[in-house]
Order: sequence, then C-alpha cells, then structure tokens
Amino acid sequence: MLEPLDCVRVVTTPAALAGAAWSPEVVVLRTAPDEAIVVGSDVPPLDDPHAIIESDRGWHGAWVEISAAETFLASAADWSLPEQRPALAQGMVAGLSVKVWIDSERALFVVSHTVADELIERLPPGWLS
Amino acid sequence: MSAGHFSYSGSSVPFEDGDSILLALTRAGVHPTGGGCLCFAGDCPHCLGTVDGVSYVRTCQVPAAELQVVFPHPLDGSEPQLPTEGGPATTPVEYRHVDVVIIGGGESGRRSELAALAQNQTVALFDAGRGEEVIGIYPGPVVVIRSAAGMIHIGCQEVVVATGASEIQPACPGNDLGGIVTARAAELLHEAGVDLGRSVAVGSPPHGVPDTPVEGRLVRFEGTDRVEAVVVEVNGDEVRHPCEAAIVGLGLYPRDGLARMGNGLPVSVVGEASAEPTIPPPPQSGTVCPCSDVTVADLESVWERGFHELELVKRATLAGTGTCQGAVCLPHIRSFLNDRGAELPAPFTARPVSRQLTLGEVAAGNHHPSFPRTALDPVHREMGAEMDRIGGWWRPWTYGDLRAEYDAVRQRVSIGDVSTLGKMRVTGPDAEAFLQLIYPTDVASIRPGRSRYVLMLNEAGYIFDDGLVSRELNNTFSLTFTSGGASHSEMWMRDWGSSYDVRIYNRTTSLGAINVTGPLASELVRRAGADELPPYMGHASAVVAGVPCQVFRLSFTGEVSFELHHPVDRSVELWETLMELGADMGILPHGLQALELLRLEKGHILVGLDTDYDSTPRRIHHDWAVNMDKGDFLGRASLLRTDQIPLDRMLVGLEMERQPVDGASLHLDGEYVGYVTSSGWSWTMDKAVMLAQLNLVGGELPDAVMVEGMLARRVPVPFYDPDGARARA
Repeated sequence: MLEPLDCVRVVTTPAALAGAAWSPEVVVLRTAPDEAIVVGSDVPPLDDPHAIIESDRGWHGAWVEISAAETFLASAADWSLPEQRPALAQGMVAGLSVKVWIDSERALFVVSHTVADELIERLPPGWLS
Repeated sequence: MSAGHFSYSGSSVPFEDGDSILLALTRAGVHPTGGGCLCFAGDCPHCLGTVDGVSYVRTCQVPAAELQVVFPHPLDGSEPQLPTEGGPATTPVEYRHVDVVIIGGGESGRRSELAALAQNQTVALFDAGRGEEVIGIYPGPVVVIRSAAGMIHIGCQEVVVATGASEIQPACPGNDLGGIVTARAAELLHEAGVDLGRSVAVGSPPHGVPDTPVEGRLVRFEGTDRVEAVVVEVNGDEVRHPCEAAIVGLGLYPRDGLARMGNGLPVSVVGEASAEPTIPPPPQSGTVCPCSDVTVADLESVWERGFHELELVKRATLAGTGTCQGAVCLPHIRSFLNDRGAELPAPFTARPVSRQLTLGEVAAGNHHPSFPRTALDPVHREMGAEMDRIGGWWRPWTYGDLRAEYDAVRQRVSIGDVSTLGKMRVTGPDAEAFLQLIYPTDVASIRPGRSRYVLMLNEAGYIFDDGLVSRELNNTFSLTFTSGGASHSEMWMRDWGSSYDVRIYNRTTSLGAINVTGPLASELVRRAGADELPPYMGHASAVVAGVPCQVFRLSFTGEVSFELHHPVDRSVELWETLMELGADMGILPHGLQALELLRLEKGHILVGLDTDYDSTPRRIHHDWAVNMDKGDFLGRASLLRTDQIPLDRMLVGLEMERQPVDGASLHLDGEYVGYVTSSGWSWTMDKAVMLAQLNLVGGELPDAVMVEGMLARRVPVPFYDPDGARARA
C-alpha cells in the first residue's frame, strides 16, 4: 500500500555521496549523481560542507515481494527490473514516473505524492492500494 | 462432434474442437464475405467479419468459442457498423523481455527456436495460427503482438521472421465466387473433415485431397454465387471443367511484410519468407485487388497515363492499401508491370501496423499526460472547487463564487494554494556567481532575509519565466518559478550550473505553499502564532499554526500577502487551521480565476500569457528588473543590441466600459495595432482593465484604440493601488 515515506533529500557532490558510510537501516535511492533520497532519517556525515540535507515528505512508497513486483511491472511498464541486487530503477509505470528499489527479496515502489493517487487509479484494483 | 455453438447473423453455428470461426462457417456452408478465394492463413481479405463487436477480424485466425457473436461485413462494401452497446473496453497489455523473438511457428521458426535455445538465449515464439498476430516491429527492437489476452509488447535483442509464404490468389473473372480455396486451404479443410464436393485443382494440386487436376492457364471461374466451372486455356483453346469447388495452387509469395519493417534493426528472415517471390502469369482481366476493388482494366488505365512504377500504381489505384496490405494484389501488379517491361523495385520498407487494430489495442499501455495534484487537492474538491488543469497541475479555478473570493482578498483575508510554484534551493561556494549569471538583477545586492522579483532571460534576451530570489545565508538562496515554467527552468538551471560549484535542489513537490492575503493577512498569521513577521519583500522562518514555515512576504494580489512554504505533509493541517482561525474574519479561499483578476488589477504579468516568444524586458516595461551595470548575465549581450533598436510594440494597460475577450484585436483608424493579452472586470474600479500588446504608430503609443467596437484608453499600470501602499501595509 502506498504510504507517505519518511525521507531525507541529500544534494551534494558525487564523491561525497559515494564516500558516505550509510547505515544499513536506510535505503539510499541514488536518483542522480549529485542527489539521493534517503528512506529513513539517518544521514551520516558527508564530506561536503555545502551539502543540502533536508527532510522530505514528498514521497509515497510501498514494499512488495520481488515476484509480485515483476508481475506488476509486466502489465504497467515497458522496462524490466535489473538483475543486479540491490539496485535502483527509474522509469515510467502506467505513464507516471516511478522509482523502484530492489533488494534480494523485496521491491520498494516510490512515487511523488503529487501523482500517488493517479498511479493507484491507473493500476488494476488492488495494486499498491 | 460439436464442441459448442456461436452466433452468426443471429443463427446458431456449431463448431468442433480446434475450429477457427471460418472453419466452422465453412462446415456450415457459409462464406463470410459471400465469395472470394479463401486461404485460411490470414493473408486474404475474404474471411473478414465482425467478432464480438470488433470489425475487420480475420475469422480464419480466431478460434471459435461458445457465445461468440459474429456478423458478416456488409456485402455492398460499405463500412461495418461500430458496436452501439457497451462501453469502451480496456485492452490489457503485457510487457516482456527476451533475447530472441521468433515470428512464425512453422518448420523454419521452430528450427530457429531450437538454435537460439541451444545458445542459452531466452526465446519467445509467436504464431498467427495460435491467435498471436504480430502487428509490427518497432525500433528497439520491440515486437508488438495482438493476442486473445490483449496486447504483448516484447523487447528483444534479435527478431527472426519466419512467417513463411502466402499462396498467390487467382486474379481473373469470377474470382469473387464462393467455393474457391487455395491448395493449402484445401488440405486444411480435408484434414478437418470438410468435404468440398467435386473439386477441380488448377496449378499445383494439394496433397491428399481428392480432386481433379487440370492443366492450362487459368482464364476464369464460372458460376452464379458459387463456382460451377473452371475455364482454362490449353494450346489457345478454352476448356471448361464443371465442379463444385475450385482449388488453386498458383505458387507462393514470401510473407515478408514484417521483415520489411526491420530495416536497420537486428531482424533476420528465414525459410519461405526469405525466398524470391514467384511472378505469376500477368493478369488478363478481372479483379486484382479485392480490398480496393481494382481490376486489370484499372491497371491498364493508369499505365496508359504514365504510372509505370509500383509505388505510383499503388497510389493511383489504391491497390495494396486495403485490408490485406497487398498480400493478394502485389504479386499480380508486379507481374503486370514486369510484363510491360517496367523495372521492378526491390521490396520497399513496410511500416507498422500490419493488421487492423481497435482503438483499445492501439491505446493499450498508453496513458494520458499526468497532471499532478497538490497535497491540498482533496481539500479543494471537498470544498466544491471547480478543478482545472492549469500550468501542468490540477488547481482550483473557483470555489463557486468569484465575487466573494475577490472581495475576501480585497476587503478581509483569503488563502490560496500556491504549492504548484517551482521551488528550488541553491547553495555552494559559487551560488551567488551562478545566480548572477542566471538572473538580470544584481543578486549580490540581495541581503540575507530579503527577496527580489526576477525575470529569467534566454540568450536572446527574451523572457521565459519569472519568480523570486531570496537569500537565506551568504551562499544559500531560495528560488521560486512559475508553476508551468518550473520544469524548464530547472533544466535551465542545471544546464548552466554544471560548471559552477553549486548544489541545486528542486523541492517543488517536497514543499507545500499557501498564500495568505488580504488586509487582515498579518493579523491572521499572527493569530496562527507567528509573532515576528518579515517586512515587505522579506522572508523569515516561523512556526505558523504549529507548522514550521518559511514565510515570504510579497504581493501578487496587491494586498498584504504571506507565502507560507512548509513541509508538504503538513499542508492540510495548515490550511484547515488557517480557515478556522480566520472564520470570524470572513476568510474564504480563492481560486485561480480570482487570482488572475487580482494580479491583473496590479498589472502583474503572467509569463506566457502577457509575454510573447520575443518579449524583452523593455517591451513589457520591466527594464527596472534588469541591471545592465552589474556585469554579465544570460541575455545581456542581446539586450545591449536590441536596446538600440526602436521599439515597435509594448505591453500596456488599457481600460474600457465592457470586458473584451482575451486575445481581442486592437484597432486604430481601422488598422490592426495589437491584441489583448489579459482582461477582466474590476469590481473595485467598476471598469474593464486589460493588458495588451500595442504597436507603436508613428513612433508613439496610441492613447486610445478600438477593442470589439468600443473605445479603450491607455492608462498607467498598475490599475489598482499604484503606489503599492496596500501591499506594503
């Protein structure tokens, strides 16, 4: 079920992002070379005094089993999950921009709150709702 | 043994296990289009029908099923009727990814499948005979298939086309009679236990089918509705062979339509699909293209008029453009041209789609553009707002009483949802230098805690967006952009910022924003707990109604205004608390319709509405927002040049006694001199106010023009509170 995520947005240098010692308790969505959405609130010190680190409640997310995620994407996205684990995939799902974090067992679907309702409306009943 | 029944034109037709609709109809002695040689392979147009409301279905490719409802197409050639009952059905789509897609389940297709599997490749094989019709190969490559379960879009590394060959259809008089089948069709019918009756086989006879083979060149079929005799020419003499069915084996033609879609893609062709096409004997008379009803006489006519190339003949006659896409006529047209000495071109590129599709099938997997919603969207709808898609977002246009919303802003207090504004934060050692490049204002002179209105110019000096720059700390800035221009502006910022040591954070969807505006706005915000309010064009952090906010004091409406930027998950809480706290003040929310009028009274522009693609600051009276002395910025060189050119038009204020439509023309002495960009009826001033692009006439701006037949006077802007005393109160 899509629910608001407690996230922190980090904007910094690619080197600072790569060098950070992230807690295993958080999921780090590296959405761009200089930007990450951290699901969870634990952001370690970064080697960048100018880094922007802000609480970000603008994302909704839902965890699903990998097999369910693959079934789900087969009917809603023209791309497939990468084989690498863990990994972040970003693309259109049902015509909306979605980020998918996958580990060995689960997938986290992340979508902007601005289109979360529309995503639910576009998917078959029961998906992510 | 009947496996079930389907409905055909209201009659019940039995079918057996494995029957296609056409096979079942043939058992029942029915020809779905009245006549024409049946191929049972999906190539010809002679078995088309309407199945379960979908027209142009090749009934030979669709398994018969219980409760199916089948109708023939009108025999007079008119278009089949669209279904009149039932709503639009959504066609599901399945996306798949494999290494190799093989099209065709015949011998060569299966061989290709085994070869790919032996190399540990993932394979998907589709066969039209199983109801899997490949309708196109697209760049990727992506192969799109229509199946009974819906559409399949399958991405792959390689495509193997093993579609085999179609049988050449007869092109002679009488080829539209019933009882004519191809040799392969005859074999299929025989295996299915269908007795064709006394059959005559012309050309290569079918295997294992009892028939009477005849020698000679096919001349015509004779009969009334069904074939009664086949006439062939032998040594210059016509020989008539009476029959109940005619079987034609005239050769094969590669079924290469899909292969010809693969130019430039990793597509290989195997088996009969890759064979050289047979050139049948040139047609002498009769119908060549049954889809477009093109006869040999038509071909001769266009030949005589100079159409000697295949593509020209196709365009002149429409042969090959119908349902079967040339499967029937193309061999005969090539033979016709070849017989007259025309040079036959190499097979031309084919374009998807290869089959008629329903709108649902075309649309499967596609979605209309998304319009995001603010966190307050459900609140607006709950309040009965008329929502509209504006600036790329769903936004409240009005809550039902425009005048009441307007009065609340001008006389009391109102709140509006401005969460859609583009919002960014820029920081880093080069932040100030970077923004000096981006904006024509002197960013260095903006002190911490202060804000400034800014234009955004492209390299040509033309305005493409506007907004606010606020300095938080020495090297940290908050920026706002228009709702509709935010995405482009973000790309602009990131593009130009790539060579600066800056961090750029787009927090448009992370922050909500509520504008509190009206003479009582300060009182309401104080009531909500913000004791220290920033001065006009200042900003400060404050807790408002328990919600941490960055409070920007500005004014788009012309009244005291505070824009409360806050964590987006607190928007509803903040909105509802402000409404409660302002209840005794007569607070109302205002929508975009009221806001557009309020800002028009103040003469504030809407970029894209009041500006044009070539609007410079000078042309819209915004020179004050440009500091040419501060050093270089994007557009400066262009402004230096264009400032030397005499003005030809300007954005001006007009007023008159009746509100014209936006876009109304301006006339002076009967000549067109411009147009209205924004207009509205000002209740405060009891007259219509407008912004307009007005041409200079004789080097001067006219003092008055005619708009929709009425006199409009040019007046200074702002129309309302020209000194800004109310906004600064």
